[in-house]
Amino acid sequence: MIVETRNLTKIYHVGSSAITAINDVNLKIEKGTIISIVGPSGAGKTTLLNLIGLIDKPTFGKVFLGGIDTSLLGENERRKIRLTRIGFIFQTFNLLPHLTAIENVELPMALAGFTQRKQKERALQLLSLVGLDKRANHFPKQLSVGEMQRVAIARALANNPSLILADEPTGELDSKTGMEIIRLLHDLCREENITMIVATHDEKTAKISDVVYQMLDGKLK
Amino acid sequence: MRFIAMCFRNFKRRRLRTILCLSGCTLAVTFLVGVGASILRATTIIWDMNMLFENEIVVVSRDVLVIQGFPIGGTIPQTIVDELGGIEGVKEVIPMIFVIELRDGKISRIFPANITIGLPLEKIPSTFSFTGIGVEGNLPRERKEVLVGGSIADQYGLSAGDVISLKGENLTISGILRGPSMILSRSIIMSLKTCQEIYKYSGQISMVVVEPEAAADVKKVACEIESKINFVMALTENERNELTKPVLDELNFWNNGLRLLLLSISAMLIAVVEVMNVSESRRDIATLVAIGAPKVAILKMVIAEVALIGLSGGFLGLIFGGLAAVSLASSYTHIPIQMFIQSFFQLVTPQLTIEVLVLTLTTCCLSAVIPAMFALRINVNETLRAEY
Repeated sequence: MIVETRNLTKIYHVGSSAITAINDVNLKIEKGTIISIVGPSGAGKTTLLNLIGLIDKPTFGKVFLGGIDTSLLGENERRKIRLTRIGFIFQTFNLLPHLTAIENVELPMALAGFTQRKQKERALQLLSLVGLDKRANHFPKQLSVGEMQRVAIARALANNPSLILADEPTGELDSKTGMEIIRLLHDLCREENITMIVATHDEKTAKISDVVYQMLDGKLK
Repeated sequence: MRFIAMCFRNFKRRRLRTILCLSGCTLAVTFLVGVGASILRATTIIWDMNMLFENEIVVVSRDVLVIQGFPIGGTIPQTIVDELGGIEGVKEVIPMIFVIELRDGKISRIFPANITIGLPLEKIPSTFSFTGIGVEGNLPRERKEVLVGGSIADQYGLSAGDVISLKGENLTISGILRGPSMILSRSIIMSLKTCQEIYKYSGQISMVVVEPEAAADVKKVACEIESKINFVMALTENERNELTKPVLDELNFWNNGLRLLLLSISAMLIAVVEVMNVSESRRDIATLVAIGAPKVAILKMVIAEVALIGLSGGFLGLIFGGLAAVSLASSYTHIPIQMFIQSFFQLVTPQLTIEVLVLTLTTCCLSAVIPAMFALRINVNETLRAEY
């Protein structure tokens, strides 16, 4: 079991009122599985991904990654897991605008302490995998949205993660480019036996997943 | 991570803000260096003034302003020399005239800022025989011979054997005085009689330098002089230092106050600009944290940006400040600017350079604290969720 959540609950306090974003979610995900979490905006998809991705902490409940109870980990250990075992893909790509495509891909490797030569080799290999090796030295603003998301995918794969969390990866793309990106992600995860959780409100994206969960008002069905 | 490259690209993206901030820092450091170098020059000159009269007593008229060994204004009759020679504990007496000319064209057509020193010819070798002083040529041996300071000689291309005209009097340069003293480099040294004639000091002198006997108590000798001779001050080296100390302390106080003020303003300026930069980079910082960047990496990013602005401002400020100090020195002495440019590093000393760079870097680090704290407190969840 690569990901497991037990009674996961997240409550946000806004002023005097409490909003339950995630309500008692229990989830078990096997290695290499592609999961889609489908639901409307505000259903809690991003919050769930943030909790699984150790960006946020639950109010109640626990997240187990590779059998490790993450509630027992310190901030630095959580950071290291995010860096080395999880790849993040964001709806708005979140590439650093002052770094080129290759530098964006090298970034997680640099943070993980790879040598510069290794960083460059692997970044080029990943950019080639997503079909962008010829655009390696372009800055994000010089790329199309589809290309930006490809760079983001390459960055997510940089440190050989066992889990990829993709939050609305096609949200900013037209349907054709969106499908291309989803297929690319699907193929890459299958090849590398990577577990992927995709949060989406797009049914087409969900169709290529192994398991589809519906999320509404913080509850998973 | 390529922090420096990232910083430069960030600066390029926000070039207007960066240029304005850099200009502010440069201006502050320019002011700091300009004023600092000018004050340093003034204090060096003041300390320089004691060089000739270490461990000796300087006897001057009571209403005279004395800066270290140099009396400004007032004269005493030359007959005082004989009276001083008769006082117990006095080994030697040297009567001297100091003519200080600060403005261009008042006394001499060719010497815009100089000091004329007149003393008995036979006393010149012993008076100017301290370490670091060298003479190109000879010391004056005749009434119409003068010794000229190196700076004046360089300014007018003079050398030993040349004849100069001073207030209509033709004088032959016997030698050029070379040495570290700023005062002596702008001096014309001649016989007491010649000086009295040229400047109409007949029978008058500015001061007498008294060398006490080796076994004598300097303070006692000075008291004896004041009690036996009317209307004179006999100042020992300590007393002269004490007279100057408040002036130097005041100068240092204002210099340090100005530094503090300028660096505080710079620090605030940098902090404001960097907070704006961090605020605009919230999403980038949140992304970095999300993908696993340690806090140290975020701190490095902020500090690198601030340090680059500060150091660039520091270097530019040093250059502009040095030029400002040179221009200031030239404008208030009327000595051509090239003369100061040649001795640039005497004005902007290595010590001042290091001091300014250290102060600038410290200021930058302090000004990075607030933006760094701001960067570390960014809420990753909210920032990543926010629409831009």
